[in-house]
Amino acid sequence: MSIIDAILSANFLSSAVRMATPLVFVAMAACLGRKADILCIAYEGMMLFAALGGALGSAFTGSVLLGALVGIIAGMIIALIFAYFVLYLDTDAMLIGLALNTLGSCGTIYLMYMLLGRKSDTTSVTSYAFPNIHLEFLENVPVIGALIGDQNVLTYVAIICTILVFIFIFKTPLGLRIRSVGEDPSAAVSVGINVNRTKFIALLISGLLASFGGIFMSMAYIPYFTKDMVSGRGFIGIAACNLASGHPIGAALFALVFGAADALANIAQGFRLPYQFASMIPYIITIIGLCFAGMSGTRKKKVKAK
Amino acid sequence: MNKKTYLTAEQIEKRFSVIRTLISVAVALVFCFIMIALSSENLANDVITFITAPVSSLSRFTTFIIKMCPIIFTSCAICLLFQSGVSNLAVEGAFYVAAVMAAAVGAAQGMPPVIHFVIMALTGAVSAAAVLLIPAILQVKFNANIVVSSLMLNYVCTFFANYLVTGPFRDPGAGYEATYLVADSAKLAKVSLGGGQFHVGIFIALAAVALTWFILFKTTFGYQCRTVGANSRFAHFSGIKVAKVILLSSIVAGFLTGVGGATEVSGYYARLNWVASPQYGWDGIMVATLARNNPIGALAASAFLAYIRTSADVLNITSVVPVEIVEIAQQVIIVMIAARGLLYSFEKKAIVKNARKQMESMENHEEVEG
Repeated sequence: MSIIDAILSANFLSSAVRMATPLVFVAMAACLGRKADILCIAYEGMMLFAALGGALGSAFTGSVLLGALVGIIAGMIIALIFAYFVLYLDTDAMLIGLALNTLGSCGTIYLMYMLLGRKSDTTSVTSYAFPNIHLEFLENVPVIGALIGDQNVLTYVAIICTILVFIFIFKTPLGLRIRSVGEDPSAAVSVGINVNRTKFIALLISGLLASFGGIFMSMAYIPYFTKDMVSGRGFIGIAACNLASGHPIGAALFALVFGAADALANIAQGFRLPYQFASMIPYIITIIGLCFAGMSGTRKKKVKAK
Repeated sequence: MNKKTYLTAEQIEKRFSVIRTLISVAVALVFCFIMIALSSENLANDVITFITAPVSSLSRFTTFIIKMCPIIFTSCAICLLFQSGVSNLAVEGAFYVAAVMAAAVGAAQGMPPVIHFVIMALTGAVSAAAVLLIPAILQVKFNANIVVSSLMLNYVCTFFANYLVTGPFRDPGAGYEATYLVADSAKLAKVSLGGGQFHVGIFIALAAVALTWFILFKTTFGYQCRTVGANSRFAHFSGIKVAKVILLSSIVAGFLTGVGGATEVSGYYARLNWVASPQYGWDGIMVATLARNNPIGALAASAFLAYIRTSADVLNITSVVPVEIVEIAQQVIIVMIAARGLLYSFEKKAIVKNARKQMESMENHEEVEG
């Protein structure tokens, strides 16, 4: 099978959507943060804690939903720490973002060791995962059927989230407040909006979305937690958001492109490309994407100046 | 007439900066002790081990010195970058790639002793500089966000270096995944101390600290770097070429990182067996943050980090306490140091009280003289 055949196969399209799911969640989270004009790169940390929380929570409570709740709370705690330090303690956002990401890595390993006695993964306990759904009415539809006919529950949640986030940002009063504190804080203050509290709420919702991305990793993608399982997906989501200049629908589409790059890395192994080069592909595409995002940003500034 | 000298606002800020640093380190150490207590089976022993391990024996002391080396290099590189306001975080991946390239050069047979190491160092320097240049060029030419692109590049570098170690540079004769043996001609001299030995790379590291300090504070380029870091628009309108500063600081940081990688390989390893990055880049960021981006402070902070790392390693062997406690403590330090608002209300009150005293004494002098 040539590589073109492989790309156009149903398997690839389905795979692309599956791998794009966590990226879509993080991209939504990043869009919200960007609309509030906060440089948040702590999504890796949020996702890792959410993933561990989901895997361990479902194992200890015996329920998928309760496990997911534990995971979401875990991720939002990280978001809370980030928001409090950045907004109320004047902390450099990049440094605390990096620290929380690294904390995500060593903290989850430490927690696994303390709770399970192992540092590598949570396979010693049985975690529960979200089920896949097969949409029969889409079985024979050409492209859409392959894309979303047979996906995990959380993937459909991601699609719905994209629409919800779009509506939230552009059609609700809170969304308007978030955009206004992001675009012009002093103008927002002059109409009585509490800038810090609005940004805080934006970051918490952002954390909620990123946590969904985290629990997808350990409760849908694979049914357990492995150390460092997020592997930069948080940053790829940020890149998707930058490319779309913070617009949720555009960011979701770019996240889909990056998901396809991830799926491409998997099948490229079958074509005698060393797996390391295949694994590089999503990150290289992200870097190229950042160049395009940067250029379009500069062009917009130049046009405005005219 | 009494003339009392009052502190300036900047001096008060500096004092609070020191207080914040001490508090951050103290809180992180408290975290460490709590984590030790949570997993320890013999608390008193473990705490004593943690506090005294690196100085409890000469061989552990040499471990401490060896651990300090690579962190000094990466933290100096980060100091330079962060002083210039260039958040190029690819130091992490650059170190790994540079070490692998240096190991490959180091395996060449039949080369004259000292020159062989110099070539290793140059190879490392050029490789790391090439890596660090990529996000810098993308930022300058395409306005691509340097933070995210350099973080992405770290992943690319890690995969690439892993490929080299497990593929083209792999020694089939070794029983595990590693590069060819580093030739004796390339190895750094070792100094024996009691039961252990450390390599002279530490002196190269000290030279790197001196060099970074000199560049940053005694050259025009360093001044340009610091100006751009403080306010790039001001620097631009002062005539400083901001693009040149971004690119050059990345190159020099690359040289520092690469020499560090070569030194680490040549000094400590018979062959390079890293299949994952040793994370010295992240350590460098933490150290640079702790040292407020000053190279001399980075030397002290590197020593501190190497100290608690050695303690954790010894603790790992002698007890069931995991090494991750130190990594967690590192992140706590970064977060607390980066929190400029910590103790802010106290700082503000101190500055205001000081200013009031100054004003009152000025009024009193006027009354006396009037």
